Amino acid sequence: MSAKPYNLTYPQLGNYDIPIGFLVRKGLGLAYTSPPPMTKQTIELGAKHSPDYVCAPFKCMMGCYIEAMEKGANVIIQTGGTCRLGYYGELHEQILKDLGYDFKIMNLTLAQYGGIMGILGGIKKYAPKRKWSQIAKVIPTVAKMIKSIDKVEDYMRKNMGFEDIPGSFEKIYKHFLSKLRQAETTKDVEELYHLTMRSFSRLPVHKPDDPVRVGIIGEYFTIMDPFSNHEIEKKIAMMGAEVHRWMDLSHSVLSCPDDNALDMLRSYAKYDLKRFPSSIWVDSQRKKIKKYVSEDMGASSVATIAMADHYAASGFDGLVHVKSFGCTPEMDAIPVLHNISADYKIPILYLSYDTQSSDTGIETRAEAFYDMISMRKEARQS
Amino acid sequence: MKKAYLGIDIGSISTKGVIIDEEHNILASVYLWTEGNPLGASKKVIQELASQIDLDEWTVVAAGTTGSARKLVGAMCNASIVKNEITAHAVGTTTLHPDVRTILEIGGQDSKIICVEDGVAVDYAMNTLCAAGTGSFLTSQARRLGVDVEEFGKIALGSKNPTPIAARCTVFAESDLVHKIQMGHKKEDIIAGLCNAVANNYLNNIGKGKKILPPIVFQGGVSKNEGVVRAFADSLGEEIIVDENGHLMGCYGAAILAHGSGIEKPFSFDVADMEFVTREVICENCPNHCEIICVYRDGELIDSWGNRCERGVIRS
Ligand code: SF4
Ligand code: SF4
Repeated sequence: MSAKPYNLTYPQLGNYDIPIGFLVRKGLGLAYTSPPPMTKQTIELGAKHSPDYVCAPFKCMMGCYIEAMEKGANVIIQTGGTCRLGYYGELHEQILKDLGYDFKIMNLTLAQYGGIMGILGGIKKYAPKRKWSQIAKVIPTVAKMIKSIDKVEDYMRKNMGFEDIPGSFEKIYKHFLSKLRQAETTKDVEELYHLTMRSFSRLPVHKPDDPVRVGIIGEYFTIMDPFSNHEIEKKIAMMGAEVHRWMDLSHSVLSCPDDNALDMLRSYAKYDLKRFPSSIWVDSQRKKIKKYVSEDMGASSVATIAMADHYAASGFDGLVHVKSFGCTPEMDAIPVLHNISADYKIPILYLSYDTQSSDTGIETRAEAFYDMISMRKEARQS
Repeated sequence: MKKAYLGIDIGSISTKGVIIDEEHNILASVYLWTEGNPLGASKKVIQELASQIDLDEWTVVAAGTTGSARKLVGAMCNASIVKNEITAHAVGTTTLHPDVRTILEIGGQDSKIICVEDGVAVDYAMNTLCAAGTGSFLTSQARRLGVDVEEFGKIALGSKNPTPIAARCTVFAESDLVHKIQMGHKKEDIIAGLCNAVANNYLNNIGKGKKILPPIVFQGGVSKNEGVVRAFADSLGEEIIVDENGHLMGCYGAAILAHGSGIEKPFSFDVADMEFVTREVICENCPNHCEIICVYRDGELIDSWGNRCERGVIRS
């Protein structure tokens, strides 16, 4: 590695590069480069330099890394733990090195890191002069950012389909994101969050008492990245549905289902990034789906099944299962979803994305699905 | 003047159109080949529909489109509603057959299944990947056997001993077929075997895991083939209903949806005489390079789509 100062980057995943960038800049005191927003070019670039058979997330990340390094990044962050992404870091590293890039990889999945302390140590290596207290100081802000993004998006998904003024939610949301990039302190984030939620609540909407409700479940990366899933949530919401998605960074890495402090502490102490949706959730979710599966099929499959069961039992009108083409854990979850669908008589739309999925095809299927569940609901109500 | 509603279904192979009244009775209907020209075919459909009704008595107050070129033709017709094929077929079929539980459909290039409960679709599947279960597969095999595909059904019904043909995929089916011909199987047995293969392929692919309950309505180009109809009846052990208007279900559904939308927009049969041109513009504002389709009527931009964001909006 050259003597150039470190400049970190993290692949696009929804809007989470905002908190990650904040952590790097303010916590580690290092430079951070956001990869450019994902485009067709990112995917093509990623696909070109990836083995054909790997799942789409690998290719997207590859494209992001290349574009970010072209912009000056020289340390790429790889988070993982979900199934094959656990060793995809090594593959990314090898391919990028072969392409001639000069960089380091902060591979947060390496076995040597073990628990949370190991990971922190691994991160610290890049900022040896930084004091622990300086790093620790930004953690609450980073966590607040993640939770704010998740809550704001959650509110959007549930309400934007019923807005009276087209585009009104989107406008506030865009403003929120651009302001969040400028936030410096926890207080900034908090104020922005409250302001955004207040603006949302003032928007004129006409939401029925019993709206069409759709739950989105599926593979970790594709479900959280709107570019990869062709904005499936927005598409369905805008047809006139309340869209729910449990899976996000708050639920998968930050928050904890335990409600007393001691249990929480114990959970966090045993924190294991290799278990999914996270070591904090996985056991309780597995218990809930005992009647459907006895084994953990890996990656986000436990959360997929647990949430499918939860949404179905809560009387949702339909579920959308989202995954990248060739994703084995989620493929294994499908027969279980068939059972849930039959038990609760809830329709499920299965979408499998590859890097060449056509927007029209997805739109058509989503529309047909929405028509079906909304007509069914109407017939039941009358 | 009485109100009427127009529906057009523009598929890759054929284009169909109907005009219905407020009680959803069919007043006029047309069926013709798309021949790779959806706008031209739709214009012809509109002209022919116009010639079938008394324009002093009826006025079309809303139009609906469905099928693969629905958006384009929707722009041309100033449509009140533009709908996907699944919804349009489900609505059309359940209107004519209120008690239907399963709709099987095999078209030229794709196939679908729709499960219905109490008059509304509750489950569906569609397949556009595998050709072995579709009309084009039968057409190509007919050619190989030197038989007109329209004759297929009748010939198949003459078979007492259908030849089993592996129908997992087109490639397998073809090589198996060649093999069976060389073994000297009778032509009618092979043809009946092919019909069985199409039905079984369908049931094992898109019909997989679906509860196929009666009444069963079978539609699409292949439903005109008695051999396949019999194969379905035998496999499922149920009566298979083939509606003589089966091919119209998509456009019929589109017309009903146009009525149901409550949106009345002026429709003029004159569109058949106007010039419509589409142009593809590549947005250069970001590396997505969205392909934006612009539709012009007599030189004037009337609609455009395909941009992923507002930076790519093209206005007239
Ligand atoms: S969970 Fe699925 S998408 Fe993710 S790495 Fe594994 S196979 Fe790929
Ligand atoms: S329409 Fe938007 S997303 Fe598409 S190329 Fe233009 S600027 Fe990019």
